[in-house]
Amino acid sequence: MKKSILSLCLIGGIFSVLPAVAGPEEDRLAMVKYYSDRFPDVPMQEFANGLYAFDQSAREQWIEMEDFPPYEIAIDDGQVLFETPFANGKSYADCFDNGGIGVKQDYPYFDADAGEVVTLELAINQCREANGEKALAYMIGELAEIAAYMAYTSRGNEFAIQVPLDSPGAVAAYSAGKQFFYTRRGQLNFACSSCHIQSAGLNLRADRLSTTLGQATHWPVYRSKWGEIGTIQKRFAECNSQVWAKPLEAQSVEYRNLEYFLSYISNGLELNGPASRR
Amino acid sequence: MIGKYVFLAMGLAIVAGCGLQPSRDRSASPTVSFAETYAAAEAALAKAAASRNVWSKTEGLLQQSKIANDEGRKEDAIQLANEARMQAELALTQAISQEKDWQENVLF
Repeated sequence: MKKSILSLCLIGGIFSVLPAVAGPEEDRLAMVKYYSDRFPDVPMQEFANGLYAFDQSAREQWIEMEDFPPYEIAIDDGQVLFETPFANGKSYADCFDNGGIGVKQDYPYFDADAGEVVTLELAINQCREANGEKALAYMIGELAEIAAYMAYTSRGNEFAIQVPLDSPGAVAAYSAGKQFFYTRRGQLNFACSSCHIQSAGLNLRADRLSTTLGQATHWPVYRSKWGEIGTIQKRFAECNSQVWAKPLEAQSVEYRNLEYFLSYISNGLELNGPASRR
Repeated sequence: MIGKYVFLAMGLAIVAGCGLQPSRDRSASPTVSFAETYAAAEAALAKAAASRNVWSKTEGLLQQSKIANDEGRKEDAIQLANEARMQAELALTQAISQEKDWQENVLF
């Protein structure tokens, strides 16, 4: 009896000194609750529209812009690129489930064999290289256009990112992405969460900061300040620059893990990419 | 807790940086070797890069330092290299402390 009590005390003691680490679904639900409490009038799916979910003035301008969406040309060009066969006669459709149509909701995923997160953009380049083609640049240009077309075919599908709890690699990648999100960096000493959790909805100069929830649903994005369509990792690089941190390489392990984390957080929301932003 | 000290240190660095504009501070010792100062800054930058946390102005400061040296502005060159080294060291300190303290930023 004494031994049992002692064992329980020891186990209790061990658990009391371990940090509380929430799993992916606990993180997502906590995020949903936080933003639902903070923006009680915003319907859940509206978080996929970024600041346009709660900034009425910006929303009206955005809706006007959507009459002639600036990303439309990228979708058309992306479709042509997607359907153009490689030199060996094969095409992108041969590399993806369902011929690459309506599959973005499953990206990124954790490739257990390779031991790494695979984003849609990485998969596009892996497809090219497997078929003897050169990889494309990751942030803008043809790859972003192909991704835009693939996102367009996935509109309305709910994000369904998997982080299998029985896969230590997947859990580790998700956790690393979460750690990156909450890690302060750069000379301004900001974490992603400093803006997109603590300050979400508040003004930063002329813009209001978007929520983490829904942040991954609408990429690639045509940003007016870019004057072109770009991938989510171009935005990661830009965010890092804005806090005076040198950006990491596109599709670096860190950025892919971050995208894995952010995408999981938006699980259940409908994809709405490509999109336009100021 | 350490994060707060890092934040304070970085605030001081920004303030200090304001006073490190080229040709303002003439107190740098002429006996200090530019080569040694520059090498120390490069070494600190390499450590920050290995931690995957380089501040965005640091490499530019090193480049400006080299240009200043090439143009014969030795004191400016040394000041700029020292500023780059200080930034790199603070970036490394930030990375090390955040590796441990990042969970303090998790609100829920």
